[in-house]
Amino acid sequence: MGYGMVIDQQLCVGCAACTIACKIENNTPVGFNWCDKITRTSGKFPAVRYEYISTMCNHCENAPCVAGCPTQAMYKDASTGLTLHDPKKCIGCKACIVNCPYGVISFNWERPHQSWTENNRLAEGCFSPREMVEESGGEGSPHGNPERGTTYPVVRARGTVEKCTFCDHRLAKGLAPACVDACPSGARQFGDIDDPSSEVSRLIAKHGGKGLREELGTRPRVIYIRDYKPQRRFEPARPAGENQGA
Amino acid sequence: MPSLFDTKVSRRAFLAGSGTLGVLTAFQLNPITQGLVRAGLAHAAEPIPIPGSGEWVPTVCQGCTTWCMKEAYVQDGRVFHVRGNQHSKITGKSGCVRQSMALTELYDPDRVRYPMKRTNPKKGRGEDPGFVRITWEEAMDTFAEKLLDLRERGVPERYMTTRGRYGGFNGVMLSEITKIIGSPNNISHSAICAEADKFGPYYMEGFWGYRQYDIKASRYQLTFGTDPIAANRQVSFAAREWGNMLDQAKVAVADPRFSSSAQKADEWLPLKPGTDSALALALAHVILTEGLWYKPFVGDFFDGQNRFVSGQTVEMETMADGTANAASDGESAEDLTAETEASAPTAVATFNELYTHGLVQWWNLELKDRTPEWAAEITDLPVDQIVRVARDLGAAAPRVGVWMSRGMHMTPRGSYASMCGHALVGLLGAADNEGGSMRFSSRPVGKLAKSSDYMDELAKTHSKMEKIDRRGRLEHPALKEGKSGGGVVTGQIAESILEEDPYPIEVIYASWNNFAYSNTGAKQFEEAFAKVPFMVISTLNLAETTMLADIVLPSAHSMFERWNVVANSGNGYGVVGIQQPMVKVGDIRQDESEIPWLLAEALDRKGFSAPLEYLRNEFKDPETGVQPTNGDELGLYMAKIMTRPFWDPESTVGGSKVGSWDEFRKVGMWTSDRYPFRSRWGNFGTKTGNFEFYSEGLKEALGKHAEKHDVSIDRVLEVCNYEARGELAFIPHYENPVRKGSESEYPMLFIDAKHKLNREGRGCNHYWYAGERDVEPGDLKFEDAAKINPVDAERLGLKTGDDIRLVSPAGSITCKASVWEGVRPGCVVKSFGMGHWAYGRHTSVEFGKTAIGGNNNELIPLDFDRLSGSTVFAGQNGVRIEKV
Amino acid sequence: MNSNVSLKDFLTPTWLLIAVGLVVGGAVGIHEMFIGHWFATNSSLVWTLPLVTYIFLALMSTGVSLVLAYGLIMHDETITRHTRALLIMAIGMLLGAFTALATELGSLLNMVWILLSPNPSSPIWWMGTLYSIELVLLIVKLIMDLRGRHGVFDLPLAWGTLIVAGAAAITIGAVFGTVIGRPDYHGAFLSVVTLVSALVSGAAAIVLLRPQSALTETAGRVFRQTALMFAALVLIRVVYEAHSSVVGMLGWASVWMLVPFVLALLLLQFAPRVLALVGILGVLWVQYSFIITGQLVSLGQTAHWYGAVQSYQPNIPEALILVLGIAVAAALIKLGEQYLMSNQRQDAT
Repeated sequence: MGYGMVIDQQLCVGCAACTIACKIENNTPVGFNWCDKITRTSGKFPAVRYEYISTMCNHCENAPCVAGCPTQAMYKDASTGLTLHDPKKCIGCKACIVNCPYGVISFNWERPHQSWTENNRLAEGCFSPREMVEESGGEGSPHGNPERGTTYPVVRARGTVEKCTFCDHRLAKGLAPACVDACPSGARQFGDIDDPSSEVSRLIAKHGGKGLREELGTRPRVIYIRDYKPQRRFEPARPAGENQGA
Repeated sequence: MPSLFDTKVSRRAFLAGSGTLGVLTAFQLNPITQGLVRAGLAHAAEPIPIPGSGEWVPTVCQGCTTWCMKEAYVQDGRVFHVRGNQHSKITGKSGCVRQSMALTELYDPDRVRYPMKRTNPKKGRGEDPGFVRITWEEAMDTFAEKLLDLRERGVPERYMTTRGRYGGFNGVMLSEITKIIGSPNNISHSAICAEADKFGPYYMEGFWGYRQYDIKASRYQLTFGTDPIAANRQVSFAAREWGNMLDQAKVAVADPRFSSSAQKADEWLPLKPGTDSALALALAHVILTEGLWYKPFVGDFFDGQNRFVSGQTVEMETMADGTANAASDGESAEDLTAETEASAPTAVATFNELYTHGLVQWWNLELKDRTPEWAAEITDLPVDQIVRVARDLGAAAPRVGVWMSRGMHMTPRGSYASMCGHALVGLLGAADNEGGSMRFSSRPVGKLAKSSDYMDELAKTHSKMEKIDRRGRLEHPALKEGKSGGGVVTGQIAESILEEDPYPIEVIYASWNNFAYSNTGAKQFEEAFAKVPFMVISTLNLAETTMLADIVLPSAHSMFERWNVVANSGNGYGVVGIQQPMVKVGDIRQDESEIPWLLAEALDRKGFSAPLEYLRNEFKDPETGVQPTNGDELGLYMAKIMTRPFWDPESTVGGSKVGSWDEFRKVGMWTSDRYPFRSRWGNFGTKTGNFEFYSEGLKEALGKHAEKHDVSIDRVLEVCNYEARGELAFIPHYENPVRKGSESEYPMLFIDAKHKLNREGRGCNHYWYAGERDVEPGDLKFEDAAKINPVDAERLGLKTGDDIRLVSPAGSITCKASVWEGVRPGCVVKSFGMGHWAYGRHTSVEFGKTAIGGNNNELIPLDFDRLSGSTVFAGQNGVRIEKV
Repeated sequence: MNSNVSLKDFLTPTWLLIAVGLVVGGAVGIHEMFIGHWFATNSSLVWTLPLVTYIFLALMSTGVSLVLAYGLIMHDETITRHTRALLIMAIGMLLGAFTALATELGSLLNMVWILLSPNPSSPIWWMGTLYSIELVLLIVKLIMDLRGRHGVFDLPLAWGTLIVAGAAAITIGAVFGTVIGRPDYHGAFLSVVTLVSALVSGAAAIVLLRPQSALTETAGRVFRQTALMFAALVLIRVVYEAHSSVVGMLGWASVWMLVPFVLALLLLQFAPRVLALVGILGVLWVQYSFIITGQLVSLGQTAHWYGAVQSYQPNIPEALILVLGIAVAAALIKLGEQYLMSNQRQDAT
C-alpha cells in the first residue's frame, strides 16, 4: 500500500489551517513548517489571478531524498509507503534537502524552541517564555505535543533534518493526519493511493490529478485535483490604468 | 548532534525523572540520557500518551463575531487542537484557522499572570506604568473604594464600564452591577463592529442583526467588501461549503482589494472605495428595467407590462378599464373589444406589490436614473460587467446571498449604503428564502435576572442619566431598532471624557477590550484614558489600554478557562453553546463571573451589600436551589440558568434535546430546529409587515428623533452630514462618499482589511502568526506591510520591503511596502492586527513605545455614520505614502 | 622519525600563522559543532563555504594522490623520490578537508551509521567510503614508506590509490550531478569538473609546496595540461550557459574564470609558486560558484521564507572555516615535514 493525499483545490480556501494544525501536532519551531504553501499571483490588475498550493512532503514513491541519504536515515517504510526519517541515524549532511525538488525538508541549525528557554519577562506581571513552559508543562514549548513522541522526538535534536511524516503516529492509531482533520473546507482526503477503490483513488479517477513537478519522475503521493482559481472568470476587457485614480 | 551544553531540565522533565510523573518522552531529558536514547541504547520514558487518547471538551470560539461551537482537545493537561463541535449542524467538525490561533493567546508568555497596580501616576504612551504585584483582595478593595467614593459624593454616573469580546454573562458585571452602583454607562463596542450592517435589514426587513446565509442552496453570492471565506461573518461555515457551492453557484465580489473570496470568484468588481451603493443601485436598476425581479415576492405590474424604463417615472396608479386584468388571459383582443368599450376606466395600482412596500416610490425617487452607465462613472467598473452581474443575479433569484460588511457601510453615510445593498435581497426575493439570507434563528436562552430590585434611590435616578456616549443627541441619532439613541456610539466616548460633557468619568472598568487600539482616532482614546483618574481592566495582555490602567486584572481566556454561554446562528440553525474551564494559566479569574463576585464581596466588606445580595439571591443553582458561594460557582450556575431550556426535562423548547445538565455539558451545545423559510413574508416586523423599499419605519424613527430635538428631519440629516432631503431619507439612495483629506495632499485611499489569522486585535503575539502573516496574499512574513499596486509603486519609486510612512489627516504610521497586483491602483491596502506599541514580544520593537508596523486606527480619522452610530473604518480615507 | 625537532622550530612566522588559523578557526568550528549557529545558511541554502572548503581540500588531496600514483605507476623518478612528502601533503589536505566537513555536518556522532546502515545508492555514502579508504591507503603507504618497506605491494597500492582517488573525485561530482530539480546540479559534467579540478589543484599545490626544480617541472607539466582542460571545461560551460534557455538557470561559469588558468599556463615557468597559487584560487572560485549557484533558487515553499532567488555572501565564521581547513592541512604537512622528513630535508629549499 501507499498512503497518499488528495487536495481538492476548488475546495481549498487558502486559510493555512493545515499549516497551523501541523505546527501544533508536530511542534515545529519558528522559521519552517512541515506543512506549508506555494502561492502565485499572476496577471495584471484587474485581470489578476491567485493560487494557493498547500505543500508538504510528497512521500514520493521514487524519493530522491531517500536515494541520496548516506545512512538510510531517510527511508521508505515498506508497510505504509511513507517516507520517514530516523533522527538517530541522521548525520546532518543535508543531502536530502539538496536532493528534494520540493523544498519541504528543513534543518535544525539551532536547538529548536530556544526562544522558549529564555528567561526574560516582557514586563512585570508577565511570564518569561521558560516560566510559561513550566506553567503549562509542555515539552520544548507549551505546544509540545506528547503524542508526537510515540514515533518521533517531540523536540528534535540540533543538527538533524525534519519533515512531514503524514502524521505516522496518528495513522498508527487509525487517525488522519492533523492537517486533514484541521482543513475546514474538506479539501484534503487521505488514504491508500495504491488501492483503486479508496476515496483518494476515486477522486483522482473522477477529476484527474497532478502532483508537483511530476516530470522529474519522483511519483509524488500528494495529488492536486481541480483548480484553486475560478474556472469561468469574467475578466474586464478594459486595460489597467484607464480612469484608475481613486 | 545533541548539544552537550544543554543543561536545561524543565520542571516536568525533572518530575518525570523522579518518577512522579512519567509521561514525557526522554528526548527532553539530560544530554546523557538523550544520547543513549538517540543511540538506541535507552528507551523513551513511558507511557507516552497514545495519539487520540485525549479528551475533546466542548467550548465556543470568540475569535471573530461568528462564535462557532467548538471542541478543544485536552491531552496531558494542555490544550492542543480545536475543531468544530461535532454536534453542530452549522460547521460540523470544520473550523477556521482562528480556532487554533486561540492557543497562542492561552499560552502566550506575555500574558498577565497576577493582579497588579500602577505605581507611576503619569499616564501616556512610552510612560512605564510601574506595575507591581498585588493580591486579588487588594485589587478589588481598591476598586470598591473608588466606586463607593463616587456614591458618597453622589456622582455614581462617573463610573463607566466598557465591553469588548463578551459572553452571555457580561450584563451582570457591565450593566446590572453598574446600575446598582448608580451609573448608566455600560458602553459596548458594538458601534466599532458593524452596526451599520444591521441598519438596512432593520429598516427594510424588520430585524436589527446580522444575517445567516443558505450557502448550500445558493446559486449566486454577491458580496460588497465582505470576504466570507476569510473573515466575517461565518468563516467556518463558509469555508466548509464555499468550494462545493462553486459547482452550482456564481460568485461576484465587489472590493478594491483582491480578497480571498475574490480570488475564487467568477466576477471581481474592484470598484473605487466608498462607491458600493452606486453599484448596488445600478444592479437594482438593471434588475427592474429588464424585468428580473423575483415576482413571487415583489409582485408585478397589474398588466404584466414592465414600465421600468430608464429615466422615466412610473405612475402609482394607472387608469385601466375593467378588462385590463384579463389581458394576460390569452384571449384574443377581438373578443374583448365590446366589453372594453362598455366599462368605464378605473384607477388601479400600477404595480401590485406582494410582500414588499414602496417599490415604485423607490424607482421614481431614486432608481430610474441609476443606470449602469451612471454607476460605471462613479465606481470605475465596466458597464458590461455591471449588467452581466445584474442579469446573473436575476437568473439566480431567489437563491442569492448578498453580503455587506465594513467596506460598504462602515463609512460616513453608510446607513444608506446598507439599505442599498439590502434592497437587492428584497428585489431578488432572497429575504428569508431558500438559497438566500435569513435573520438569525431564535435561541431561547434562559434569562439572567435584572438588578432593578437591588437599586437604591441614588442608583435609580443616576442610572437614568444621559450616557457618556451622547447617544440620542441631535448629532447622534443612533437609531437602533427605531429608537433615537437606541444604539451605542462607542467612538464618541473619548471626546466626551476629554470635554467632560455630559460629565467627567472618574472610574472605568474595561472588560476584554482595547479601545485605545481598536477605535479609530486611537490617539484620542489614549489621551482620554490617561485623563481618567482610575481605570481597572481585565485583560489577557498588557495591551495599549492596559498600559493606561491603574489596576490590571488577569482574565481567564474565554475559550478555555471560564464558564460562559454564547449563542450564534448559521446555515438555518440557531445554536447555543457553553464555554467551560479546562485549563488554568496563572493567577487568573473568570472575567464575567469571578470578577463581579469578587467586586461584590469587596463592596460588601466596605458596607455596600446590594451587589452581593443580587448575585447570591438571583443566581441559585437551578438544579439544587443552592446559592453560589464563590465566583466559580456563580459562573457555573449562570451557565445552568441560561442553558436550562435545553436540558431541563420539563422544557418545551424545540431543537436538540438532552436529559440533564451533565449530558448537556458533554455535548456542549444546543441546536434549534431548521429555519422555517418564508415564515416572515408579510410579517417582517416592519411598519407595513412587508419588505420596505420605502421605509416607513425609518420615516417614523427619524421623525421621532427630529421631534425630540424640535427640528425638521432635513435638519437632522444636515447636522448628521447626509445629503438626502425630503423623501430620499426613507429609501435606499446614493450618497456621495465623504473623502477625508484632499486629493492633492492625500492622493491615495486607505483600505483597512481583516487578516485571516487575526482574532480581532488579538492572536498576533506568536511566531505562528508572524511566520504565516503572508497567508494573506501580498502580506509579508514577520512584517506589517501596506500593499500597493505596481503602477503606484513605480510612480512612487517603491519596491517590496521598503520602509514607508503612511500619512493621513489623523496621523501617521510606518510600515513596510509590499507591491502586489491585487490592489486597485490608487489604493493602499493594509491588514489590521499588527502595530501594537504594547501587547507582546512579537508585536513591538520596543515594548510600551514602538510597534512593529503601525495601527490602522491611528490613520483613520474618527468619524461616524451617525444614523447607526457606527464608527467609520472604510470609505474614502485619504493617505499619502512617504519613503522613510 | 626525527627526534631533533626543538621548540625553536615552531617559533616561525609560518607556524604562527598556522596557530592563529587553528585557534580562531577551531573556535568557530567548535562553536558550530556544539554550541550555536553562525553560518550564513538556511533550509534552502544549506551547503556554503565550509562545504566548499571540504570539496576544495579533498579534491586537492585527490590531485596530489593522483599525481603520486601516476609517478609510481609510470616510475617517474622526479615524482617518486618525493613520495613521502606527497603522501604527507595528501593526508594533511584530506584531514583538513575532513575537519572542515566536521564543522558542517549537523550530527557528527551519528557518523557510525555510515558503517551500520550504509546506503549504496547515495553518492555521499560512496564519497565518504571512498575517501575513508583513500585515507587508509595513504596512511598505509606512509607507514610502509617510513618503515622503508617497498616491494610487491607498491604497485597494487599505487593502482589502488589511483582508482580510489579518481573514483572519489568523480563521486563528489555525482553528489551534485545526481540531484534532480535544481538548476545547475545535473549531469556527468560536474564529475568531469571535479576530477579535472582535483588534478589542477593537486598539481598546483605540489608546485606551490614542493618548489623543487625537477618535481616542479613535472607537476608544472601536469598542471599545465590539466589547467588547459579545466579552462576548456569552464569555456564549454560559459558557452552552454550563454545559449541555455533552461528556466531558473542562473549560470555559475563566467569568462573571467579563465583568467587565472590562462595566466598560469602562460607564466607558470617564470613565477611558478605565485601562479600555482593563482591556479588554486581559480579552482576554488569555480568550485564555490557551482556549489552555491545550484542552491540559490528557492524551491517550493522555501521561496516564501527566503525569496525566490537568494544571494549568498560568506560571512566571517564561514571564511574562518576555510582558514581552519587550510590551517589543519598546513599544520599536518609542517609536522610531517618536521618530524618525518629530517633525512629528506635537504631536498627542500
